[in-house]
Amino acid sequence: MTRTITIDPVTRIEGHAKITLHLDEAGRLADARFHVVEYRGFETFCEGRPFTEMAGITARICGICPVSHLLAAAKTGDKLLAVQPPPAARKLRRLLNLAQLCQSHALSFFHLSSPDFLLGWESDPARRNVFGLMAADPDLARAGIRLRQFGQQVLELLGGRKIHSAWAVPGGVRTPLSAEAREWILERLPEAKATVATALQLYKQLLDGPLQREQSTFGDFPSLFMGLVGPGGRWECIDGLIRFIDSDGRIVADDLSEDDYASYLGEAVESWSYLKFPYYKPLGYPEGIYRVGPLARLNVCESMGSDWADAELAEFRQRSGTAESGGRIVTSSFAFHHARLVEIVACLEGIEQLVVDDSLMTDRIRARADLNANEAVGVSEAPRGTLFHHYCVDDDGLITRVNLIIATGQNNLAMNRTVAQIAREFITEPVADGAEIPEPLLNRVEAGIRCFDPCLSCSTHAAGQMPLHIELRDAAGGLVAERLRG
Amino acid sequence: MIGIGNPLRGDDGVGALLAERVGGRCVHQLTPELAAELAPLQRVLFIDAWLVPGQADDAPPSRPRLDPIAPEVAGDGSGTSHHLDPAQLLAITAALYGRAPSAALLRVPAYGFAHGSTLSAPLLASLPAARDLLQQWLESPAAAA
Repeated sequence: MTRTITIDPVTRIEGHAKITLHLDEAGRLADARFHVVEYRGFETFCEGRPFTEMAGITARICGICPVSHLLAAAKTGDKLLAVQPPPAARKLRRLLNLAQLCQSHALSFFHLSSPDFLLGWESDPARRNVFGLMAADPDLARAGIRLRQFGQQVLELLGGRKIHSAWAVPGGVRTPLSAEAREWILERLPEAKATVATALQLYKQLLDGPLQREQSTFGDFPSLFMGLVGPGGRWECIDGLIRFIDSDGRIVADDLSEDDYASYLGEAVESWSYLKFPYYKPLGYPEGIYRVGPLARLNVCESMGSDWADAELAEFRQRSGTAESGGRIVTSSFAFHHARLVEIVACLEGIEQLVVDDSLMTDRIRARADLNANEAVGVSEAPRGTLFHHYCVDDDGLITRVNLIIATGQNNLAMNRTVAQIAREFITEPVADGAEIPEPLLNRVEAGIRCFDPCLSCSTHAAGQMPLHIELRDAAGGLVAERLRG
Repeated sequence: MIGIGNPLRGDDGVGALLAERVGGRCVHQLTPELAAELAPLQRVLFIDAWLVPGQADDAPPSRPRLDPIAPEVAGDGSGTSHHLDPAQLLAITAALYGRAPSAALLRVPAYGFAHGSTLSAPLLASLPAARDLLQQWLESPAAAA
């Protein structure tokens, strides 16, 4: 008799999802599934609207990463106009995205994930959250919040408080960098750097000790990795071309244009989830599993493009790179956390480089044109990974079709495999009928999903928080045991 | 004033609508860095949509409510998502900055969060009452907060 354990919903991720663990007749894990149980209707909502409004509209999909949609939409709009934004506009967009990555990663690391690391996996779930973290280490909690606030403030200084009001537009951006903004950013950068330096030091200590098991069991498997890279394979967050690399460090495909995404990305569908399963087409489904996001960006790149970040990338690879790849590739999904910290370093150094560039204060920041194409694809690196916007418009510029390929969706196969690996590690004995669902399993399966920091608000259409629900089901689908939390 | 919600998700946008009209701030969800902004304030009003689950068609419409709120660690979800509830945000503010503003929550009954920028008819019917409560809070800070 096979049985199923369901975790429904999963906490500390955005949106609504559940996890089921399927046991075979011997009570051992047979399969694991990460289900998204709400449907995204946003693409249909966009149809009939002017493409010039898409940046503002898509930025409102989600309050967590509006800038990513803003930039992907603006870049798609550039192509519909058939214009190249002025150099200052491209730099300003980059500055915006660096701030976005910084603030999003800060929320993920300090607010959502560090309670697991710092308070311990077996600590009381009611206290293993940001409130418990504040009690245990208020200085770190405060610093994390101020780092998040730093990124948010840069967004507001560039785009105004209402970042959803489409500061980035087809052809460029609306306003340049102000002298006041430059001054504020430069004043606050040292504190932001000190915070991430402290976090890196702390995290490395944990990696050397209590987190070793998680590093090797939280989604450590071979896969492809996909992300944008710049000239010379430099780490990239908005421009550049798509690269796929495998777990042995071989570049599988390079210099791919987002325009051709349909030729190399397939989207499989499973009956048990509204979230699609993108895969690398040449390898088929599911062998074409790939990961995106901070871990993938660090794996595909040759360098970060700034001194401190390059040193951190080298240490990241030295600590966690696989022997099979000569230390070049990190395959553990747990390393997403470390990768986020390295990316924060890169973002802060990138912001520092850009903010002193006087060309960002010019008024020549927008190219204007009429509609010159009826179809275009834009891409940007969102905090959670590569984001594609694909629009078709009629001759009046009204949207006739939209396809959004969201980062969280692209990690769907990897999240499923991560859950299965963790479950195999912690279900070491056959599970008897009516057995309690073990707390260590519950904690770590949740945490395994959080490695990816999934945000389902734009992957589906959900919003809200997610208490935890695990069910154990038999072969016929009958409920054998369940746990609720939150 | 902080209006909470997404204006492109039907009735979820009512918080933003009310806050914007009186110069307040609008956010999709409450996130922890707002604690730094709340800490120096004397008082704050949160405005949010209040989903009315399964209300029978013949039931009288729920009315907006204005209630004082206090810092509370153990709110819904215990701070485990990308967003916090107002009491949790106040708790973070008090814990990290030593104080939190006096606070109130204006809840407006909401009936659907489907995609769209149109408010439902029953919500529109309750807007005058919501505005009255908002005005009451503005004019009587000590009483409402």
